[in-house]
Amino acid sequence: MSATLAPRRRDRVSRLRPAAVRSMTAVRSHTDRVRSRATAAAAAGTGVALLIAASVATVRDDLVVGSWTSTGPDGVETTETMVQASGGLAPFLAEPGLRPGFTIAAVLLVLPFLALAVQAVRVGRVVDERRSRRLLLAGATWADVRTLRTARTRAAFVRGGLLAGPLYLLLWLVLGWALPAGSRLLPPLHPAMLAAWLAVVGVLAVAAQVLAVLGFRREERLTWGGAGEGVPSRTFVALTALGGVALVVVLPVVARVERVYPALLVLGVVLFLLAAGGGAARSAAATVRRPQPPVGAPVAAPRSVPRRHRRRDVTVHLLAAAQRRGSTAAITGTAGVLFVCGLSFGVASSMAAQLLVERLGSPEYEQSDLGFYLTGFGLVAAVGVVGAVVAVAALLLSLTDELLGNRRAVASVAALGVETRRLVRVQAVALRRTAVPATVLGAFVAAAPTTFGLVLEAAGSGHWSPFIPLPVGVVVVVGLVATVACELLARLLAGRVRQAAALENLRVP
Amino acid sequence: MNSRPHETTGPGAALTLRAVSHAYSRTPALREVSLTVRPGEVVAVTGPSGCGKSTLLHVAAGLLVPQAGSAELLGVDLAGLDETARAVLRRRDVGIVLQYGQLVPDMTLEDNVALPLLLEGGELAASRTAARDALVRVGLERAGQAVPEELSGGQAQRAAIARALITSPKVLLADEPVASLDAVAAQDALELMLSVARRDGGAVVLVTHDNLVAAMADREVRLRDGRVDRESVLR
Amino acid sequence: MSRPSQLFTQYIHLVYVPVMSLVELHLALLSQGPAHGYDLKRAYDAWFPDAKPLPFGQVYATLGRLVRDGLAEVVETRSEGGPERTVYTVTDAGRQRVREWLAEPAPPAVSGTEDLVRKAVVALRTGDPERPASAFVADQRVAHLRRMRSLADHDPGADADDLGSRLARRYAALHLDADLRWLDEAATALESRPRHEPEGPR
Repeated sequence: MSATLAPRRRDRVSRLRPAAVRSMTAVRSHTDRVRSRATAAAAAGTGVALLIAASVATVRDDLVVGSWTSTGPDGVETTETMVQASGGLAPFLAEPGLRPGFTIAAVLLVLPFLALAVQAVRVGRVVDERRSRRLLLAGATWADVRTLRTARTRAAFVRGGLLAGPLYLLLWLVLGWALPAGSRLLPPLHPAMLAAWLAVVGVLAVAAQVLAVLGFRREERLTWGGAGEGVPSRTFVALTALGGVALVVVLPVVARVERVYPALLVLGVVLFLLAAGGGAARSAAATVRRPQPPVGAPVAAPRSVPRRHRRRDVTVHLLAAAQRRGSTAAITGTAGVLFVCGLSFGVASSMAAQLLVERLGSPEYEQSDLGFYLTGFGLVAAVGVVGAVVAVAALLLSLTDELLGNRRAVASVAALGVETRRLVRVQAVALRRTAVPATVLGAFVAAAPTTFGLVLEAAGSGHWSPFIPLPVGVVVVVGLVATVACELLARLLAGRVRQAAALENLRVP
Repeated sequence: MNSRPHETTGPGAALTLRAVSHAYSRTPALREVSLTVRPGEVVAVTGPSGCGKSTLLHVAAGLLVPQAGSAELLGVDLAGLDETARAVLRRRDVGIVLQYGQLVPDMTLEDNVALPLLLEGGELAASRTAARDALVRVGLERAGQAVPEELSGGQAQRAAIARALITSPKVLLADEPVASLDAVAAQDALELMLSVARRDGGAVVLVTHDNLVAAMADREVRLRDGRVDRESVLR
Repeated sequence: MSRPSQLFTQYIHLVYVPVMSLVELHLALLSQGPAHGYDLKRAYDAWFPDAKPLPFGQVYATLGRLVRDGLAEVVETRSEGGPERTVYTVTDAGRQRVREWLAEPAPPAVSGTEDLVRKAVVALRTGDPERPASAFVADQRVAHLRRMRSLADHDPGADADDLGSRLARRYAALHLDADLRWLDEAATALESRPRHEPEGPR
């Protein structure tokens, strides 16, 4: 329908009765099921991350490990007792000074899950927008549509929040109870966790409301404006990147911010995420403005490549570019999260390299010390891996949904004579173009300064350690793993592609 | 000889458009179109594709606020209502039937038809009962639990008509309502829609390019390039 | 074996072609400029390529009637070595007659649609500035729609179960619809012509 209603936001309350809302938001189709499960899973992940942060932040230090006495300049003697948490926690959890790092990691783990949630709520976007349009046509007001949407998201989020409790318990069994004393990663359960769980459910219910309203605003614009997906502006990308650098790097130099640095770090990472995501979305959207060679036209390719391959490449890349343009929102979230994951790999690897280069072989550092640090870096990298997996899941969710929503277009491309094999290649290229640059760039940005410093130092001292190239090696490995993962995921999508390319999808809906 | 300009206003008119003009990004769709439809009257709006037929219907339904001129539905100036109020007016007193694709996917036919009642705050059970009765009226009593995707084009269209009729609308607006139906189904669907005017005294506007549909109307308003080319009484 | 539709067409030709509107057609042909009988026959065959060719005898008989009734007159008689040729032209009364004929829409009918075709073609080719061809098309459309409407407007109770009469009405409605579609095409063609240029008989 071509009508354009200028949406005026004079809210009136929906008259829908709760029973009608429940009936109308009931999970009916396959898409509904995927959306509701993915949203609940993302909410559960967010909830578990928050519970981990809460449990670490509320560790009680009740174990006296020693005391030391000092005499001040005024001759007064003060005795300080050193305490630690009981329960056989791993050292970086047991020592109060090291705990904030762990909490930050847990809080940052919320980011990929939120990106997944944003994507999950948008599952079935094409169908959903059509549904909204039809509801409006039947006499629904925006308030009605919003009520339905919020109810749906809130139900999934609350389900996810309730699930977070048992999931945390499972995680605790694996990472706490099952591990030998002294290396446990989660503190013993205590009654306050029950309250934390309830609080998490409440926070998630509120988050659902916010997410639904924000997503709704976007949809409202799209449904009637038809302007296509919004792409972040260049100013947005530049400002968020500069803001992140200012918070994380510049501010600590010019001001005393030690107390709030953890919060600054989280905020800075969020800004980096937005900047990287926005940049990726811009690059995905920009392909439309770049003149593309017509399909089959001679393109600038090496002479040695057979003509057949050249042509195929152009088709696949054109289709992949179109697909990426269609999902800039998914790319923003995924690329941003992957960039941050890349950062964590880079940071972990360069710190490990520094440690190994400087301290390996020096007798003053004991083997156990080294193990302590390396475990810590491993943990950072592991958090990065979890984040990357969740982010790629979000991208996969978006691509599958894109395939399902545009199956008519996919089917007509297939009917034109593009084989399924090439359509699968399109998925691989689309995935790769988003995931690999973001991850590699993140890892590189974090690893490059350290490597550079180590090289300078080695050049000065003449002592070249075999660990100097470690961060660069990690960047290469991250790139390779990401590429292979994308290819494998595209294979996984082959069934979906075949479904979407089925000729029956050419029927008028 | 056959054209007789109708008075552009009238007491008790169901729908009045006065000098309505609208353009989509500088492409004019309607230019100074005036039209009055009285209760009990069936008016066919015809013309070649792109002549502004559908835009006229969207203006009449309050889905589109024209850039110039005014639209009055049941004596209420639509420009004076905000979007929510127009939606409420639409679901209470106006039935809308489009060529296809207005049933909400993944919702049973029964709930689809009950929708205007539910949106008005109706009880779920009572609204569903009313929807079942409406489905009986269009001969779909056995398809109540089906979802739109499982229906043929004709069934879906009859369901859409059942939904448009469930509130006993005072104005029925139809945009190419039978273009996707075969001849027999089209005839049945038309009879149902005409009953709004012939039996219940409502006003019916049929936007169509089909002469067989236009020939069911009391009056034909022919548009060309967004203007009223000719208005003729057929009865 | 001949199909029923062929039989029908033959029958229609037998009944209608000789009697209907030949006077007006000759006048319309003449209104393009003075012409002799052979010119008129050629022009007629060109205007209505799929009608039966006009016999010469018919042309001269009709021209004689036109002169008798004061609708046409003889301008000159030429004889340039060949057979003698009489050149005719249309009178004011003759022009008026064509105008009146065109002002009346053809009866919307299932059979005998030749008259509709003739009027449309004449309206299109002669191009009266006072009454453009588009007005003819529009009037004809209304006449047809009214007929279709009255076909649909039968008393539903009386013969609701009479399949035969319903099918007959449907047959009529669909044929009238075909006429209307042709008229729409004609109207579109009229609009897309850059400028109205009446063509006379050669």
